[in-house]
Amino acid sequence: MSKSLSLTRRQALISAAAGTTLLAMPSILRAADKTVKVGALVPETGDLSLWGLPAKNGAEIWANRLNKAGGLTVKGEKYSVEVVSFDGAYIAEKTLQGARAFVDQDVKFTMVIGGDDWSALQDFSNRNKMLTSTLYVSDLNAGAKYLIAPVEIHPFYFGLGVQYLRTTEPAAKTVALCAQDDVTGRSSLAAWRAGFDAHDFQIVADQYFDNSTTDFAPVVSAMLSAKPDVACIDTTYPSVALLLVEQLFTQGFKGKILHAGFELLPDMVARTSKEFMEGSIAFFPRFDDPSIAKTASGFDDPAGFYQDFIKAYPKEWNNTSWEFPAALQVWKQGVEGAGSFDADEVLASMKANPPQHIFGKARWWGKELFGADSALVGNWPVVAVKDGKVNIVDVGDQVAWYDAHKDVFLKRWREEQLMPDQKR
Amino acid sequence: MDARKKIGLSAAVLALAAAAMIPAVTGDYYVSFSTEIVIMVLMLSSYRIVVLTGEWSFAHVVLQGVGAYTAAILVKDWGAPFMVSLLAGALVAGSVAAILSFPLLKMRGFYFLMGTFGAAEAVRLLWRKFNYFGGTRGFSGISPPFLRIGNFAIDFGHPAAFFYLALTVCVVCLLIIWSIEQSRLGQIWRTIEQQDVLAQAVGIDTRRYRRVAFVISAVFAGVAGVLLAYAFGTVTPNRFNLNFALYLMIWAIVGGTRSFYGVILGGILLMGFDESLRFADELRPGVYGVILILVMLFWPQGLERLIGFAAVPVAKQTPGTTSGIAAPSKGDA
Repeated sequence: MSKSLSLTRRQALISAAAGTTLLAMPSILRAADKTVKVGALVPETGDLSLWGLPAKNGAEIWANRLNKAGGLTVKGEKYSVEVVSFDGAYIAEKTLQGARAFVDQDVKFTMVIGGDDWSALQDFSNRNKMLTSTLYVSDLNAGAKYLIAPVEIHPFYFGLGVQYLRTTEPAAKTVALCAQDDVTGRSSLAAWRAGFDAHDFQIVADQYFDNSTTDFAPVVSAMLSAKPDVACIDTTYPSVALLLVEQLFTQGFKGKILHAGFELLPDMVARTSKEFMEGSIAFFPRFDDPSIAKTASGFDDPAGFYQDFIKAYPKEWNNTSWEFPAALQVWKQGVEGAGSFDADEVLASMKANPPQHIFGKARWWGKELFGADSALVGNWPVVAVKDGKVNIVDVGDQVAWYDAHKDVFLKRWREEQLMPDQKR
Repeated sequence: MDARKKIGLSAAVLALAAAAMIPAVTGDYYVSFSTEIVIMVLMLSSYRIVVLTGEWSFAHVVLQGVGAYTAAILVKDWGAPFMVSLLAGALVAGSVAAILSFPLLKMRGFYFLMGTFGAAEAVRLLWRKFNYFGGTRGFSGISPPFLRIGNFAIDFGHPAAFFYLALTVCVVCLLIIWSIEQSRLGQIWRTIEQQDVLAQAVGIDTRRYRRVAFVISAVFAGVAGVLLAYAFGTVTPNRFNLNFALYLMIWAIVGGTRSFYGVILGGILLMGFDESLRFADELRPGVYGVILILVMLFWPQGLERLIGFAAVPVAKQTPGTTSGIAAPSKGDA
């Protein structure tokens, strides 16, 4: 038995209207048709999860916001962005496992914290054309063909902090430094020493402590025995920095404290006092800072992003929360410029037209220091603690500072065996 | 060959066949993870040699590191081929263990354990302090082996190829370890573990035999280290820290050290279990820890008893035997 299909005029009109509406549907709805994956290969467990988890969560918030706004446009087609993650636990072989999982999942852009995260990945990354971003300048080298540092090039910006400190504390003469004995600690102290040399500070105490240290009283005692005007505890991991600050307070230190991130600043204030932390210097702004939109001009709606983040992850905001999104924003510019997700084409596009950096205009740089122009370098902010919160107090040009103090930087960098020709 | 040995041999052949199938049925990720398990199985089996003499050590992971560092230096500085690195890694790890054994084996039990911790930290400190060993950054970019015979070439940088290489090396090492354990030497080790004073009374130089065990176990740990260096292309001092030494100990205890297969079973199951908990993200260490505690509370003889209960009638099982530190085990492989 057959049944002929017949439409009334009303049904035909409704169908036509529905079809037209579907075709003219805003890109916001059609974006879900295709998906591109990006990966957060981070420590989700252990001490460094304090960096890894906010980074992953930040990337997810960024992707949600982008998808709501219509997604990524590549050659006229809309793609929604999906964030996948893998717990590399800051162990080289686990991180490599994660990279393999990402390749299996066809992840187009991978983000790592850097340091021990990257060491096992380089050969794999080259073989598989795995475009990856790092936050550590010490990872960059001429052999890492698909590695870029599109946001932070830790610890390159420390000189800006010392420059600011010199203007606000002209009477300060001496400084004591400490950090844990690993790649993070050693590259950090090399950069800090260069900064202090450049701005006429005398280093009166300088020590590395073992990674497994849990009692920081002797470390701080040794620092304070040299009676420093300034204490630099960088770059120590967030939980360690908290214990060091607590010890500085307990042992009666009165000067300024320097640390890259002050990730646990609310806890530091709670364990010491607002007065004690006042004037301490770091490099990562709040995204609810009134001047953030102006400073982070390369980041879409930083205040809105911050609100979405704290709504989804209350009390989990951290410095890395915006760093992975900022890296994704650079990648997005590269992808849209290239009209492709292919790593070679995206890299070529980004190199030919340097994307907007989170803190404004930037250029690819670094050949002199690590053998490849893989770092997107521009301005970087200096923040100071006021009333228990960090406020943006200065913004400086990282390369300009380096050019002005190149000799001391290279000397200190070489002392720590960080130059390309010194790597094993 | 008795029935028990036939069953064991059949199980080993089946397990090997199953392992050989892995690259054919899974992607690179699981192949690479399987390589990690193979290396860990070799580590646990070699660790059990020390345990057979009644001692537990924190230095085994560092001795693995000695093998890994040897391979890294030979490859980076001399472009050494894989076989040279493998033999050198084993030899250097064994030599370092021989040197360490002189002060360490003057101690027993808990004092030996603490002594190995100190020695291991000293070696790690050397790696970190001297740039010759790559300092805190260690070595990276260790090229994978490459075999060319005429027109035939194998790039062991491919996960499947390296997995088969690691599996072959591991199987050869396990056969050697098994043979040693079945020999008179193995029987003496068990005697020392069970009746140290009695062994001395009948003229056995127990310290000498414990030293031999310590050095032989280090040789195989060195081999595992070389495999690790090639598999992941990187060697860092943090990879051989106390955490990993503790994991090795826990896996050995949970697997069970009474039988040859106990630690192997423990390594495979626990690593697989840990990996399967990835969905739990940051809760993973907690979940993993709780389950480990439960196993140790309610199954102190280790996972090997899973097979032991199935194979041996309940009435024949010796009551009160455990495989933990507190209650030394009896080797009855």
